[in-house]
Amino acid sequence: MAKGFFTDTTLCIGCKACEVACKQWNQLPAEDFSLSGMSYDNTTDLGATTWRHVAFIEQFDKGSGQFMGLEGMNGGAGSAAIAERVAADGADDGFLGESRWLMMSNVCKHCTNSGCLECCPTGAIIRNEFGDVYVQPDICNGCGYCQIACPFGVIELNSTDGRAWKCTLCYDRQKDGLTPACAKACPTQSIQFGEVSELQERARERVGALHARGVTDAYLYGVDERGSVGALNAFFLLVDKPEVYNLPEQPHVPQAQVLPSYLVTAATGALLGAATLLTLLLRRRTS
Amino acid sequence: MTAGNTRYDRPRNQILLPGLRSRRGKSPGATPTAPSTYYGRPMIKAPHWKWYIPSYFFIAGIAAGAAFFGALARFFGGPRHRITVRHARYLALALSLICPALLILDLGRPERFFNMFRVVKVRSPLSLGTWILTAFGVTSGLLAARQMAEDGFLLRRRSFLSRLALLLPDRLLTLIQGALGLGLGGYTGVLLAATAVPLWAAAGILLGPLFLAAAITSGAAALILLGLLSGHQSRAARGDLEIVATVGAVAQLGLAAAHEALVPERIGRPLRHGVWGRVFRYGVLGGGLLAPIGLRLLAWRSDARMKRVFSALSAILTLFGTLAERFAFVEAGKVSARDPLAYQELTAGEPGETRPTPAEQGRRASGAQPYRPGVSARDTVENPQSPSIND
Repeated sequence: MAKGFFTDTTLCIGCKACEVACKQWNQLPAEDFSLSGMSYDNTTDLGATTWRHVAFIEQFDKGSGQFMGLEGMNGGAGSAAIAERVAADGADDGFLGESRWLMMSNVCKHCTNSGCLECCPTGAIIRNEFGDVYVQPDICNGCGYCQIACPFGVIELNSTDGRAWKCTLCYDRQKDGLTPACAKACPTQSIQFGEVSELQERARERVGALHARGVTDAYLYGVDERGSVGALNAFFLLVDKPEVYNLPEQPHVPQAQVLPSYLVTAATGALLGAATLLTLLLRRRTS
Repeated sequence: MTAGNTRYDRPRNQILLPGLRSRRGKSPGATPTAPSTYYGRPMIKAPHWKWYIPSYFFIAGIAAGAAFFGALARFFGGPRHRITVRHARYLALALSLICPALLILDLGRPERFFNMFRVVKVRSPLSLGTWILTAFGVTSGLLAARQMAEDGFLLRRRSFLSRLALLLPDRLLTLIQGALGLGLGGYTGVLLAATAVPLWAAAGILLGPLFLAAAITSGAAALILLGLLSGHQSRAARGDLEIVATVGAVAQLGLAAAHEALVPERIGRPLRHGVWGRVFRYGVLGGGLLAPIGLRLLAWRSDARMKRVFSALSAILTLFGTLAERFAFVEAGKVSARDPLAYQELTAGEPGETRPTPAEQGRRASGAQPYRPGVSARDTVENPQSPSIND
């Protein structure tokens, strides 16, 4: 019954309406105004006050999978390398024909097995009635453990108010039966909101359609997951490796470590305890 | 939705057992390529922890180690450890008063620290650790009060409070404090391991044992120092503590060697190179672990006076080394969190391992429409059914 997002990156045109709509509705402050040099991406990251982030990936050489980035800008080392490759490969493999500009609107994934939710020591992070992971701002005390338990680097402490923040999937709008601000604002339906099972069905059809049209790299990230994080309520249709979009190939729920770690630590305690005991008993006898 | 996964699986580059770490998975995708990052940006957030947290690890570790040894010495140490037990109890109380202060100061909203007591979450080491620390503090307070009544220290003998304190069950409280000491010393390592930070997550199950061994070593070193300062500790009692500290140091060296051998190069880099690499190599391994062991060997055949000097020196070195160890692990972890290639290595997988490959997904896709020129994808399949999209 969970509600979520299907972000189809093949439809994204990089207008950043989602970023703006999110900031406006949630009354999030602007970041400092600086140019990152990362294509059109001056937002750079998801964070405490950025809950939608559009990534821009410039790929000029399919052969190496390298995008241009800073190095490739006029006369940089990257462009020289690309020019060499183009010369060597001939016109068919030239970067002009193979170049592409990927855009992807990133957001909190609202994981099935959520690292932030499981680690939160105050119970501030909950799964709400819409099946989404929500931080209760009146409870969070800013311990910051969720920040390092998130396998996607989404949730972050706000250094100004000392609490952890992330996408709420517009909990307040959903309560009133409205579409989240980003999905509402998206002009190309790259961001679609709805029942997760329904979105998944639609997304699978979309993958099929794209494959039929020859976009055979298209796949869904976060639907049929076999990893410990499980399916993502906010999932993506991608056309390149996850790390190109700054997503992990195989995310893990950090709490998987807890039980084995405790067991081995207890065993170590038993061993060191036995050594101490032996020391005390043997030397007590000899002295 | 999550068919085929278990909630307890772990990254291929986390250490479960020695030798189980598999090689770096090849970059998934069509062609073997140079690793790509998103403009070198970090993939996860780094810990925000200020100096309070590694200092807390250090101080809580000493309290835990002292309580652990104190409990064993109370039951099995005989009369010569009466002074050690007394020291351990006072030390545990004093340090467990500092610990919460450090933790609360690090909170973004310190005035809300009590929200930690809303829930008990066994799978969250931070939640469990809060409860362990709280219980440890209470037990330490009670035990120290009883000890004060026995010693006539701060509490006047035969006063009402003193009589009340003597009613406390000494054996039971000691047992509880010792057990909680083990928990307090070990949970901090588990706390670090159960994160997405590459250096900590990759060290996996080694971190808990390492932190516990460091706690026991530093606790013993602190008790040696207190014994020397008070001047009442017998040489035999100090000898026991020296042996425990040495065993702990050897255990730490072994665990550090395992860490070195098993954590992949890219992930372990911040602990092997750079500032924190030097701190770890020279400050922790050299100065904090090997040097005290060497000094104790030197002290073997020296006279009583020199033995005391060597004892004091090795204890001081151990304490500084442990402090350096806490800082090195936390700070190197921060560095590794900012390294997207380290995180990629931690989360590497074979194509098709985590999710069906693009080809599989294309084959599986039901109701795929054949390509019809001139008709956009949205016309054929997008056709939004959910009223929530266009409401």
